[in-house]
Amino acid sequence: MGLPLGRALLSYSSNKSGEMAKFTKQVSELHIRRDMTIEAAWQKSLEQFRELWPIHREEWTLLMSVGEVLGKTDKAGQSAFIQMMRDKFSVQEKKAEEERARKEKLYKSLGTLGGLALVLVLV
Amino acid sequence: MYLKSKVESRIENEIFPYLPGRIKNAAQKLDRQVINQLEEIRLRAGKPVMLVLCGYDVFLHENGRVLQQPSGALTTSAEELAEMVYKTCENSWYAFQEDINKGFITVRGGHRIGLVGTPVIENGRVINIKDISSLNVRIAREITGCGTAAVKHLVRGNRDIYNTLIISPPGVGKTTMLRDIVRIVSDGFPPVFDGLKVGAVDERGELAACYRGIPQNDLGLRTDVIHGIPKKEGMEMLLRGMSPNVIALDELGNPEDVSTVLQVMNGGVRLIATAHGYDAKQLKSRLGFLELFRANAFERFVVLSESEKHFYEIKIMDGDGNVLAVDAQSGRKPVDHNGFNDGGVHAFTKAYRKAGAYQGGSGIFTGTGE
Repeated sequence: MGLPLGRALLSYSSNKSGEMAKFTKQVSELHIRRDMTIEAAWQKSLEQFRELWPIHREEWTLLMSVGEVLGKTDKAGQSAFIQMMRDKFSVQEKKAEEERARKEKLYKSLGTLGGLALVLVLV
Repeated sequence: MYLKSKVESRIENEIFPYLPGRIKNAAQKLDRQVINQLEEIRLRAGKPVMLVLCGYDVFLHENGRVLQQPSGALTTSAEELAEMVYKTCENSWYAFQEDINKGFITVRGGHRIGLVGTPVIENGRVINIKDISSLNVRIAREITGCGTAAVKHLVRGNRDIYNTLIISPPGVGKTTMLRDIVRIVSDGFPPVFDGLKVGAVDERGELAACYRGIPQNDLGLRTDVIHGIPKKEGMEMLLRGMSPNVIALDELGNPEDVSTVLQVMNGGVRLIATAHGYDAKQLKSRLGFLELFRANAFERFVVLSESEKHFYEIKIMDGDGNVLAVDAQSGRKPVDHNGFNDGGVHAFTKAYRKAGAYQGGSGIFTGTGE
């Protein structure tokens, strides 16, 4: 028998630190102690953590859809779903990385220009 | 304000939370006498909710009344069945996949939720069951003490027992009897009898009712349980690792188990087992028993029976078929009638059960249907 989600998430939160550990702890507690379904506990926790996480709407929608499917299918179904979500998050990660590089370049240019303007003003 | 019985509390805390909302609401309004007599809750897609009380079917109305006829009873939808299975699986279908494939899930308290639907087959094996169409909630009941009187005919001195076969037709309570005998043999009853180390192979999960590996039923303080494994492998593992004095098996009869059973006995380990049947004579000709009877493997038989005419009957016989003791209103005078009747067995006829359905009554020994 595999580990049910509530206990799996609790176990993850006990062994890890950081934002994801706090999130999984909250989901497991809402599920185990307040008898909420995993889907409802996931959704409620995401809403609370949304303000703390700098995520886009698209990423938000993806995260919500994880809670809708977790635990609801057999092993093969769960594996396929998790693999699919990993692929989708990889695409998002790549997009975010590209955006970061683009913005980094922009801010670097802005910084150089700003420095130059400051030099011009002061000299 | 009344004090709830142990059975009521267990059913309310261990069964009702899994039921779909509407059915749970109705069940929570059930009369306490009904709850005390509840053996099964049967839910079928599109059909009325059926309760089995002491062997007889009634139907559940939304206000908590029980109906003799299905008309007006609550019905269950396929979605509600799926919701209940999901809840039973702690929102984690994948984690209970093996249980689902076997057709039942054991929940805390040892209760068993049987399920059927459309099996998904791969390489000749069930790998999933989808479109659940029926659920059967079987309420586990231990009858502590029901084997007390029988045990004294099964012990040999204060440190040994006879190889024993408990025989009865399905649903008469042989697993319940085996469970209690195992508990007593394991705990002992000093100074008359010291407890023995018992290894129980619980292939179908009905003896110990393990939930997450922990037996939910009391099998005694010297009992080690191995569950969910074929008897042959289970016996071999117990022999190798746990050095039992006694091995307990539920539902002996597979010809493949015979050689291991004989190996157990030849090794000086005693056996207590159950078998489907009506008496030892009938079993002798069956393939899974032929060789065992030829080897005079069994030294004691505990035969359980029930009829409309007679009360529930327990008969103890030795290996040669001589009756050592009988309990209940069978007309036969037992060897030690008075002592035997102190065993704490409260058994009633089917006729009594029918008459007594939802009119109270206590301690009905029905077994759990296995």
